Amino acid sequence: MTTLAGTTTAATVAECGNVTADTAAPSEGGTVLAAEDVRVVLGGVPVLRGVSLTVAPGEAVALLGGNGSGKSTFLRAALGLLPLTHGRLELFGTPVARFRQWRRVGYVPQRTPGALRGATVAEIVASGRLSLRPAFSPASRRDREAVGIALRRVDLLDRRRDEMTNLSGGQQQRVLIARALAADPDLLVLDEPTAGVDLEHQQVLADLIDGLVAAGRSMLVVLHETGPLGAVIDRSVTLRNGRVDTVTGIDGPSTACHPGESDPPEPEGLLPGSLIGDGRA
Amino acid sequence: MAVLEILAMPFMQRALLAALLTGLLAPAIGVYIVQRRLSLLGDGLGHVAIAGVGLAFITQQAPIPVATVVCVLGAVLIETLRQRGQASGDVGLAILFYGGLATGVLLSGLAGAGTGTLSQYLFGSLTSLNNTDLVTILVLGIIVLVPAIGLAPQLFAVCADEEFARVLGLRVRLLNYLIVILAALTVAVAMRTVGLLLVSALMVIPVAAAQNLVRGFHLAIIVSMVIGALAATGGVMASYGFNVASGALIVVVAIAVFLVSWPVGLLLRRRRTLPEVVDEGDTVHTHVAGHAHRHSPECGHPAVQHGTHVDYVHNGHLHASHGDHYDEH
Repeated sequence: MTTLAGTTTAATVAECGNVTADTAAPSEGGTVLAAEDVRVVLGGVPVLRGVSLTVAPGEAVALLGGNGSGKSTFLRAALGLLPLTHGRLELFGTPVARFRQWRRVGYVPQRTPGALRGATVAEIVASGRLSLRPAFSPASRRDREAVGIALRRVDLLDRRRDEMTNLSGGQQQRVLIARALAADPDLLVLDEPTAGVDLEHQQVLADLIDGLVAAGRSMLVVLHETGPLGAVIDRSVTLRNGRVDTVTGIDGPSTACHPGESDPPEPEGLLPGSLIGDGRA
Repeated sequence: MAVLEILAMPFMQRALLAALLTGLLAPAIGVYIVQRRLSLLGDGLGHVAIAGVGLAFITQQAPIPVATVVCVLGAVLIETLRQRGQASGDVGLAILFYGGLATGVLLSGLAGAGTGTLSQYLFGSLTSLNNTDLVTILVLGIIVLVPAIGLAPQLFAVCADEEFARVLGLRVRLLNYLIVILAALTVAVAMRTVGLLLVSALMVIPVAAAQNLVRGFHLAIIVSMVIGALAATGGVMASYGFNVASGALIVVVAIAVFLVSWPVGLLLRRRRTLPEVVDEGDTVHTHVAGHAHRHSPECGHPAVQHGTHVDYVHNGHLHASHGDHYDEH
């Protein structure tokens, strides 16, 4: 709320820089998401029993595991939606409880059928811009443009005036992804985004995410089965019974994919202005 | 002529003004309550407010302010229980609601006020409004309308998807309290117009009718407020003619509008879906007339990769370069 002016300008820069979707990776160092020995107890039952995990800038990490393995719980804890009973969780270097730069995070929750009734696709995607919009102010031209861009990216621009409930399950899922993209986040957090989406549009999503990751965005995605999305994943972490079971990936958990870019660490105050693509501004 | 005569009477002017305000107000907050699937919240708060009216009788205070305070406290209590996850078994709510009704009847009985006096508040009694009542209603009405309209996007986000709203950084807990407090204030405004037992109808029915007629949340707010205002003023005019309680007629008019909105909405939907079937070809080719500006990666217009080419977003349209001109995409 306090840095609204700053974040708005930053968003403009990010949007323009993001045009061709392959500009440089973010210049800041450090991790996007860092979890250390995270434990969560829900209703007296330990669901997470010490999960450690990092997501580096420009990295796409998949969380795999069976039902009840704790992958969705980890996601929700990482977003501050569930309290930790133990451990440490940081987003962009700030403990999640004190994290305020929510415009840098785009969340795609699991689709709940029947929710979001009575609203059009454009209205739902526009709500993704609320992390940037001050209270008591109408949507700006830039807000409307961002909605158009996000909908075009998921191939649903022609349905923007339709009611959400008139769309198929897979289309609704893509609307939720567009909503998360509307504020042009640095970290995308997706909970089973391909559930109920046909193979053709799973490929559309995979290409979309590939472009975002190539442009320096990070991603943490819970998946039931990897499918076409598997090609864009840098690292897969499999959970079992609330613990990390296996980690597979080409790069390992380091920031090795961006050699020479890991330092110097930027002071926190500069973060909103140091988004992707500001080199050209 | 008869209508003009009615409008010339000061007590009818007050009645119509109060009804108009209630009709605008109740759907404006009702739309959030419907979105959150708490359609009966208004009913429950109405019951709680009855205790406030009884309390006002026994302490010999003005009923509207006392009922307002009691109703807001009840709303905060309900929301606190809900946020702590303790209202899941709705027994607690039922006890609160019927406790409110029973307390109200009991207190007004002890105060010597008969059921006739209480029923002014249960079913509305517009014609007995004085100027002080009207000022109270106006002030409360403005207090409710400003945030209900001004914070519409934020309130919508919270009602539609609470967890997503939290990840947006919205102050979800505060906004949730705001919704129930606004609902409580609306109940207080409405108790002399539609009455405490029927207020919930004016919160829910115009919204349901509007959702039949139009697409989208923001349009539904506007249309439901128009329907609410029409039902409220129409009901008051009719209640003068038939000499019955205004609340009942307001609700009957609202239900009539809802019944009409159903087939009309079906017809509108059918007409709207037709052109989209024709649209399947995807070979629409529209030139942008007189586009002197040349788009480029540096021009500042956001660009989007679209298949094999790049589109530029320009005033909400997508422009694609095609030879010497731009096409709408």
